[in-house]
Amino acid sequence: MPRYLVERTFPDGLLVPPGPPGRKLLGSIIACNSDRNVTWILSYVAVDAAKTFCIYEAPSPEAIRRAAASNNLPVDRITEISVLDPYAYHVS
Amino acid sequence: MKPRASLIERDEHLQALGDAISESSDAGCVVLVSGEAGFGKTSLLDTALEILDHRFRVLITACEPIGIPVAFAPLYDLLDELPDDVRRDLRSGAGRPAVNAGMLDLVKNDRLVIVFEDMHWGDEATMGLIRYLGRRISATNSVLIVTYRSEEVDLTHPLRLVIADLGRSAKRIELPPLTPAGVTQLAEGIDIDPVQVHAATLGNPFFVEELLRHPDSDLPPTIGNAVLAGAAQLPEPGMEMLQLVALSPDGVTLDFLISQAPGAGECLDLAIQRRLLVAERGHVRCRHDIIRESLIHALTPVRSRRLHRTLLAHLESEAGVAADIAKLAFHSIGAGEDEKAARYSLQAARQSARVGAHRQAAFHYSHALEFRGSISPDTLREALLEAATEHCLINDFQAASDLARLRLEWTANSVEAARARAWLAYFQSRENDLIACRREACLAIEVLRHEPASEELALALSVTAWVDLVEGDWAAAMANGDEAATLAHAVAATGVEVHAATTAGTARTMVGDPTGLAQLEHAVALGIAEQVGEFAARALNNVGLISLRRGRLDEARDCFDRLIEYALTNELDAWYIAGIATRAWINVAAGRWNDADRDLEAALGQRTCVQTEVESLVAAAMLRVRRGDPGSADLINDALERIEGSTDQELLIIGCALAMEGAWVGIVPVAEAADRYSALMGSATLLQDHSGRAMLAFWARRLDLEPAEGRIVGPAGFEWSGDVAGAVSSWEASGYRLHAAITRACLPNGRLEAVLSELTGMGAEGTLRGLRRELQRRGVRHIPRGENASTRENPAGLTRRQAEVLSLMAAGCSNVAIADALFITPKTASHHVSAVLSKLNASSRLQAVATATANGWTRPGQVIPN
Repeated sequence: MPRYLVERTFPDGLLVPPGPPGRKLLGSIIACNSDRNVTWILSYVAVDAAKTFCIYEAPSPEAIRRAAASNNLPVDRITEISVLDPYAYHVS
Repeated sequence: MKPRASLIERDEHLQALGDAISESSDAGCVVLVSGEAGFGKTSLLDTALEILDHRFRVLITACEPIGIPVAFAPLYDLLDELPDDVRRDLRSGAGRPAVNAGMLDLVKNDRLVIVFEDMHWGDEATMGLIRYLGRRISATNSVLIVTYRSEEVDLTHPLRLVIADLGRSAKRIELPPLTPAGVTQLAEGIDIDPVQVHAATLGNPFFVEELLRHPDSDLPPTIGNAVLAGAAQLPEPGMEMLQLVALSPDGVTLDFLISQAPGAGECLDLAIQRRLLVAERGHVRCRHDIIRESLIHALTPVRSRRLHRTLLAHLESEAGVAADIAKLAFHSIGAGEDEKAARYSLQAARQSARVGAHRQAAFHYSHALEFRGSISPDTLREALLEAATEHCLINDFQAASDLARLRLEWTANSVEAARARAWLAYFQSRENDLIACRREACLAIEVLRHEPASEELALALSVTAWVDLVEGDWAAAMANGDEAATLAHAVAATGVEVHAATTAGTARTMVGDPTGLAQLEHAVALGIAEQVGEFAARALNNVGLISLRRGRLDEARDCFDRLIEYALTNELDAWYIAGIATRAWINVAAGRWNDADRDLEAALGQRTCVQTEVESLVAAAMLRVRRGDPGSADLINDALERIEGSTDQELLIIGCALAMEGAWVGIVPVAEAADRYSALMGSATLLQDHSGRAMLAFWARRLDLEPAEGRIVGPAGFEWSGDVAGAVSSWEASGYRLHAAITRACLPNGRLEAVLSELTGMGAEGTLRGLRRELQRRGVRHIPRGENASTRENPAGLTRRQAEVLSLMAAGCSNVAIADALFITPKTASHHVSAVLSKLNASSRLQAVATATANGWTRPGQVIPN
């Protein structure tokens, strides 16, 4: 499955409440994603919470956009990516 | 008492279902409950419905496995509950629109909960009903609950279309497997290793329950064995009774079973006690389809045949309602009675066709034709044409052509053969096989010209006109189309008349003859009035295409909305998907990308003709290119490859435009796009095709290629003649947002910044890239950079950390919880809290939170969950 970097902007900042409400929110996002065969691997969040950089596995960019639409999440840009391990070329 | 396996770990789902039902007092809705076989969909419903109060009337029905597809089959189970008119319409085979409208009245006038179980086996008439009700249910106070097996509904399953069509208006409840903890809870007190049970069953509640019922059976077990072990413990003739029940998916009467053998009654009691069967109102059926499938799986061919014969004889002895013919066909096939199988299948097919359940009809025709040795040649010829028509209606054009070809083989003389050829040509035209269909039509015309006027001659002429149209020979299309229409009118073949008039009218419009539109409108009106479904849909489609070619996006979208609705009501899948695909294209052009995406999700991957497939592919590629999504180049290649070798002008033009747009954003080599463009420019047809030239002229301008010869009409024409402002307002008036924005960027005083931010707002990353490239090429300096998320200032002067703390306070966290969430010590947390209080000039946490909430400051903070 291809991997994608998804950039999102949250003009008012992203708020994930702590505790059970947060778990429920993320849980519903994960469930909605899985409807479309989309897997959220992890996200990096800008310190001002206005931008997120999320790593996803998905069958197509459309699948990511559809999942985002169902989850009410914005999408700025989707880039297909691969992993470069800085130590992959390290000779031991 | 131990909880039922099917209700373990289902609290959340029960809650969701209950919420959906109670919210129906504001607005009704559709709830889709999905999960694998055995995941407890029925138990969930039973539990949720048990606690409903008397304000609701509950109707429950189920679909049966495809062995006996019957139009509106689930409604037959509800006959006693339905209003008189619906009952009458069902019995008389009045067709879908009448039944749909009757059912809508029913849900409007009452607070109903209607449950359709196992819709993965649903017939298309019922699917159409659900789609029809689903689109209107929010205006009622009723709830429609649909359950289906998730593993059965793949991308090509017809239920997918329904689900996609309901979109977000439907609430979805997906049941997951049990967790190991859930299995452990169930296995309490039983001497069995729950971990092993979980591994063997993958958490399937039904399997778990069966295994726990027979803890001694070996692990890993097969579930079939667990079921059969239970069945084998019954005294004679227990197994045979069970299998009789299993072979009749919607069950058999208790009386019938008891009359089969001495001792049957006791066996049935035991089987019901052991939860293999359930009895309701004198009817017996398997408790679960997994049980049914296991029992059928264990049937030997000889016994299966014998039991089918018993059931067939039983059914034949009963006076039945309409639905029974399909069952008779099913058991005749199982019983190996060829003559009956052919006769009943044919009857069932015709009945389905009459109510517009084309998928079912095609299915039954295929069965009937398997036994064609038992059908007389005359009937066979008729049946083959009917079968081909039904396949055509469900988008299986290849099968339709094959059946028409088979019919050709069964003709007795040259005139009959020519008539068969005319129909073959028509089905080939639906398959978009231009060469084959022109050849067959010519062969038919040669013979039929010397015979008295006939529908088939008109049809062959009309098909020829269609090929002319598609290949861009408009004069020929007009001449042949007019002749065919006159002829068809004379022999009262309305369908063919509509087909021919549509073709001639379209061709006239292409060359700018104003009478063309009137001819088209006439075809639409005639087609709808005379209910020649397919042909009327095509006329509607062409009216929409003409609006599109004149650059009127809104008008065109209205036309296609109308086509989609018409195709839906008349169960014309092919035209439904074609309409959706074109609407997707229109939505992409108009910048309504989420709408486009929804349409594409429904259209892509469906079985359809080349035109529709290419259209969806092109729309999907355009969408990807404009959004700047990865994989755009691949999609463009897919679309272009599919067009390769086609002589269809329309497809060649949209393909060329796509390649040019791809070149403009820099993902297709400019030379490749230029080659396609100049090849098309050299063709004679483009000289006459104003709209095609105009479409390409826009991108030619962007790529600095020569414009086409001849006048360029529309907005692109303004731009080429130097009136850029005129071009902008003309694009805007036509509804092409993206084209308007791009052109506006080329205005000398162009407010570049505004254009760029409009494109950013549309999410047109790819288009932005293209525009920047073009502007750079044109030597524009200081192209504003795209918007970047700015770092926001906190109005209260809080530091980032303090803002985070404030959010946590607002969420009701104690100092310890804040410390946990932020990976700091409680002491540090309390320092932060004090600092927040003083900056907000608050005397308590509560006051601080109130101030912050009132000013909207709590939102900026964020917490990454631990």
